Amino acid sequence: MQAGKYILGLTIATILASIVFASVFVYYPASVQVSPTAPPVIFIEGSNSNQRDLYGTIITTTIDTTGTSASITLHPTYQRTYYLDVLRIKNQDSQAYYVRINVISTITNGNLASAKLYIYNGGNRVGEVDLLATQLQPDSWIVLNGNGELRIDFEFKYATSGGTSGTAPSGSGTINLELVYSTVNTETPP
Amino acid sequence: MLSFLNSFHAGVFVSYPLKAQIIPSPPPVVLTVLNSPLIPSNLTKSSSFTIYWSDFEQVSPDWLARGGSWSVVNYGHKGSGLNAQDNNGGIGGASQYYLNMPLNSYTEFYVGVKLKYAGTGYAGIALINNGLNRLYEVSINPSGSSALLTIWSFNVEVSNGWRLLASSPSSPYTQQWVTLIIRYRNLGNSIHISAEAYSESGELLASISASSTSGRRFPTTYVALEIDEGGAVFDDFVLSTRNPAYLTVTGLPSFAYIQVYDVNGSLVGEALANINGTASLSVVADLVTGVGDGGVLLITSNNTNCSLKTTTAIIGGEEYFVSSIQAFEGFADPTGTAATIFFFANYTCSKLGIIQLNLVSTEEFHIRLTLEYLEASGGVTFTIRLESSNTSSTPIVVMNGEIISPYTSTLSLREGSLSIVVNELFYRKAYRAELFIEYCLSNGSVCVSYPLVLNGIGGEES
Repeated sequence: MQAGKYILGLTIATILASIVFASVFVYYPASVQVSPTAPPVIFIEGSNSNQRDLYGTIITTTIDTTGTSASITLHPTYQRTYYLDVLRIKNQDSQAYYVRINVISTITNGNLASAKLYIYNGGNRVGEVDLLATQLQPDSWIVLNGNGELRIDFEFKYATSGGTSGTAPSGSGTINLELVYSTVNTETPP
Repeated sequence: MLSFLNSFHAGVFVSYPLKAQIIPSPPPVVLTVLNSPLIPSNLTKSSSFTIYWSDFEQVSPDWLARGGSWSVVNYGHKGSGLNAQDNNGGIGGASQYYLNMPLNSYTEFYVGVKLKYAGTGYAGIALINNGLNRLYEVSINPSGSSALLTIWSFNVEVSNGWRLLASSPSSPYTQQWVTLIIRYRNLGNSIHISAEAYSESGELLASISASSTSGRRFPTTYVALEIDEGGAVFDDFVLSTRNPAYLTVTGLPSFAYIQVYDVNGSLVGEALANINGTASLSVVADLVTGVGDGGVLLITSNNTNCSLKTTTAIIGGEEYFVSSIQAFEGFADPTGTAATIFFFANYTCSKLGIIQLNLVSTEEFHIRLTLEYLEASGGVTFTIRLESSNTSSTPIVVMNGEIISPYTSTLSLREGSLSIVVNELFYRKAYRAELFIEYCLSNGSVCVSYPLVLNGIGGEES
């Protein structure tokens, strides 16, 4: 009999504990419709893409078929070397977008003293990006008008210390960037 | 509330990867600094052969008259001259204007003078004794369109009378300026006099010589200008121990061509230097360059003309030394992509190559110079341009410290080299000019700029 009372008490305690720790899960119906679209902004070649560079080399501009990634190879020399119109950003939409450049990684060795990317809208310089500073640039968004284009130039300055006339400057490598564009110009991208 | 605004303005952010691969190249155009030439910087008289000279710009107490009327007039050969009118009141019934400077210590000397004679008597130079009663006369004796060159003595060969010692053949005469050069030598047992007459253009008209062995011969004490009948104008008087018909210039580049001009740009004489850089110029056209106020030497060597202006009196018979200095010194970066040039003096030559641009790759480049910055103390004037073997660009022009034209035109560099050339550099104290040598591929895809700094130190007023 004593054993029967003990079992009853344990059963009641278990039931009470179950009631105290129980959660409620409620499910409403919702849906996200993902509808991929063609890229409204794409890279296209500039007038000097794949044209002659110094010492018989080529300004190599490679753009993937979607126009959403680009790779450029340049061959600057000592002092100041300026590359004109080697890449363009094209807006295929009639609506305006806003553009900035994020410098993800850069060249930190050798005699590279300055590296700049300039963005032009027609004859007007509308943006300047320091390629040696790993951050989102410039400080404010650049307007890419509906159906418009922006031109990209590059400028490099190499110091001469330790160099000779028959050798290339030290300071080679790859600068990794991102073109960031938005439908709005009021926020910083996450 | 903030959360609400954030939601209201939320947009779409899209990012695309972009990669720039940088593979540096050696410089396809390499500059070198050229060696600086020596440029003429100063003219100094290196001899003292002149005993006395006068351009008769004003009346001088050094001269005394024996008869005649003598006055400074404003129609000399250049500037003023000495006008003479005979009154038969001097030695031998002629008129003399003698330099009151005893010459007894000289056994040999030259006298040169320019004269323009309107008369049919005699005009020229007289050598007079200590007692002022005997003389030798070297004179021109016109007759219509011809003239004689004569040497006379008075009261020597003939007591108290004239004796013709020598006479030249007749030569053309047009009452223009004539240069008379005489050489006097006291040989002990004779007095020897030789003379030459030159036209205004420097052509030798006549030459004669005579010796006087008379027991009444005399060592010359005074030199005089003389006129016997009519009137004359004298100018450019030089008394020297060297022939005043010639000017010697040393310190020139070997085989340089030198021209001497007066300050008004009139050519006085010209000659070619020998291998030692010495030139002897005939200056019979102007024994005293200009009015004794200096002149301009134009020196041509290696197809470069340099002018040297001087206020030193240029007198026939003397030697002058042209001192030279290095025009500039330049320093090129070991990469051949930058240079700094220091100029040490004003540059008055036709052109000065300072930099050579050498193409070391196979591309064709279009090159130009750009003046970015200029500062000058006391003003600076220069032009600078690019030059190839057969053409040159338009220049960068700076005048009195003001940039008139900041760019050159573009020249093509397809093979070989181009030069950077400076012209007409003048600055008062110091200056600094910062330029860029900019070259682009012919399609304009790539442009490279090299810095070029020009510094001027030691200018006119330093």
